[in-house]
Amino acid sequence: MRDPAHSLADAIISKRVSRLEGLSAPYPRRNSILSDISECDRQMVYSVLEWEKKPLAGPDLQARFEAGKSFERDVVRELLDLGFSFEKSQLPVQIKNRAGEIIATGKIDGMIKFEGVNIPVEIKSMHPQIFQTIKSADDFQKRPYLRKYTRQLQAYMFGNSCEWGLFIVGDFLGNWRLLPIALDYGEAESILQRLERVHEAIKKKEYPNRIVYDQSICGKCPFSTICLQDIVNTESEFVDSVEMDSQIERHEELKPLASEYDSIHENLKESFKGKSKVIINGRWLIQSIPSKRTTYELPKEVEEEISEIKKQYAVKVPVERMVIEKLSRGEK
Amino acid sequence: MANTQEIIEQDPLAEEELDLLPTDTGVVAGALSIEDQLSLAENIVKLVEAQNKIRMALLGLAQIGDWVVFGDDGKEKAELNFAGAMRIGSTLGCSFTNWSAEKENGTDERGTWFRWNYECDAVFRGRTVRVYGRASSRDKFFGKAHGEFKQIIDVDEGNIRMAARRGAMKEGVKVLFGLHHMDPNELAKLGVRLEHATNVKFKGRANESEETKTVTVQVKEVTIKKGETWLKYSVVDSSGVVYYTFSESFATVAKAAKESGGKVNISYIVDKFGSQIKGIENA
Repeated sequence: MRDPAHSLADAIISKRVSRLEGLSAPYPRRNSILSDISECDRQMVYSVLEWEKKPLAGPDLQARFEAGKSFERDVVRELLDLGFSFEKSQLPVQIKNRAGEIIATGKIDGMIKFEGVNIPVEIKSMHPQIFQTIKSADDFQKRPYLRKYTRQLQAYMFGNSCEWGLFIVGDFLGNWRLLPIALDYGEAESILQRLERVHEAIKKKEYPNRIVYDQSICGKCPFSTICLQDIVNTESEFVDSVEMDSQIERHEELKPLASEYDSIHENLKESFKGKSKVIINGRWLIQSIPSKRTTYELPKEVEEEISEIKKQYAVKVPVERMVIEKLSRGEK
Repeated sequence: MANTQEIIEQDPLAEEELDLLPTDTGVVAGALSIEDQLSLAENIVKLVEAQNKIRMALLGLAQIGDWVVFGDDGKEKAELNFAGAMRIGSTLGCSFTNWSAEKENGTDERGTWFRWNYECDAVFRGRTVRVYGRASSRDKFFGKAHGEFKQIIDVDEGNIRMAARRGAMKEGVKVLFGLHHMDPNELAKLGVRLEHATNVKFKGRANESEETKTVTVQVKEVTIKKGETWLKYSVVDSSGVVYYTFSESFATVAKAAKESGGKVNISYIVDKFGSQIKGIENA
């Protein structure tokens, strides 16, 4: 005989899974959705023309969506409790092309009127580990699905003629991060061009060319089963080198020591700041040796001017990051 | 009607594990020609060395949880799951090209069914094998709920297609790198830890499988419930968890362990009556 507590646990799980499965349903799309502006035009066309072929969210993923909706409601309630005016919640937004056709739709989480200015607000929740890596709106550029967040808010800001927007990001542990973002006309124009391109393809029922295979985009694409993109991976080289082996071994041994050194060094610098000579336990002499370096004390308006000039010359250049992973046969 | 259209805010689809049993995948083409065999004979030693090097590296890439152990005592085989196969395939540089997908429809006594068959060329260092993955609305994972087959309309075709495609990729990695039906003991000798691997035992001819879990516990109590034609034994462990069996021999092992105070390894499945003991031995 199964004890009642275990039976109850089973009953709860069973009902919860059924409920979550019931919430996961396919929805038709007639046009692109502003929260789902991908880097791949083809994927966006599939989202509209082949919407029914998208795999349904499983119970775990659906539970994650529900938690996100719940977080959004909690944030709005707290903002209102704090005395902020959270208005136009779930306000529909339409983007039209020059011919007046709707090319994309979306819903703003809300607007806060502050100091006479309407600021669109987008509320996002994420895994605590991802949350830790997001310190500013620029950090959304790190992952394809986070880049969609920026495009979404940029589109809302553009559609509502707002110069500024705000992300409220949470980690499900009660921590919030408030990330302001300025309207970027270049980005907004690029989003509009993409939406128009996709709209034209949808009208003609034509699928844009596949992008060059990118694991971070194609690897998680819900339409990979109909796109049938070739998956081309670069082959690893196999090198035998005792010297490299020992260098890497030593590199990995020193890594924790290097970060410990940095931390202690900063701590000591802070402790002896402004003290010209200190002797510790008769063993160590710590001196602050005066020297000079050039600094630029720019007025705020000059800094802003320079920042604007720099923006014009901003280009993305390919960089490489070396990552060393020890192959440990299942011990990771 | 565009103004009244419902707008659904979509987050990206998370990576989900849609794994297949090994019988659902296979090789279409890629067997060696005579020329290939002659070339192989000339270079066999070098090739073995190269393969061993690759194998040692790739076994290091797989992580705990990337292996599934199939079969019964003494006949277990370890198989890579999709996540493990992709970790190995993408790192070593296995490519998957020339995809094709085909849907097969049919009808049987339970109604209509469909099956997706995905094929691709799996390529590594000039070697190409044509592999396939299949999944259908009759698969237990996709087509059944609460022990009953779902109506065809309720079956998620998108996930079935995803599983078939992933099955083909997994098969490609396993064929190219010789990772089919691995002996758990050999893997253990190479330092691969399998104690956290999912253990799946096959049940009967129907090829159905149920997940078997194993625990090591101290027996606190063994009780008997008598029916008209049966005796049901309940084994209670020191944490109060109850396992049941109709096997007198299992109950005898449990009773002996209770008296000696020693621990037992219990393998069990969870069915609608609770945790049913499938095997018990002294730890």
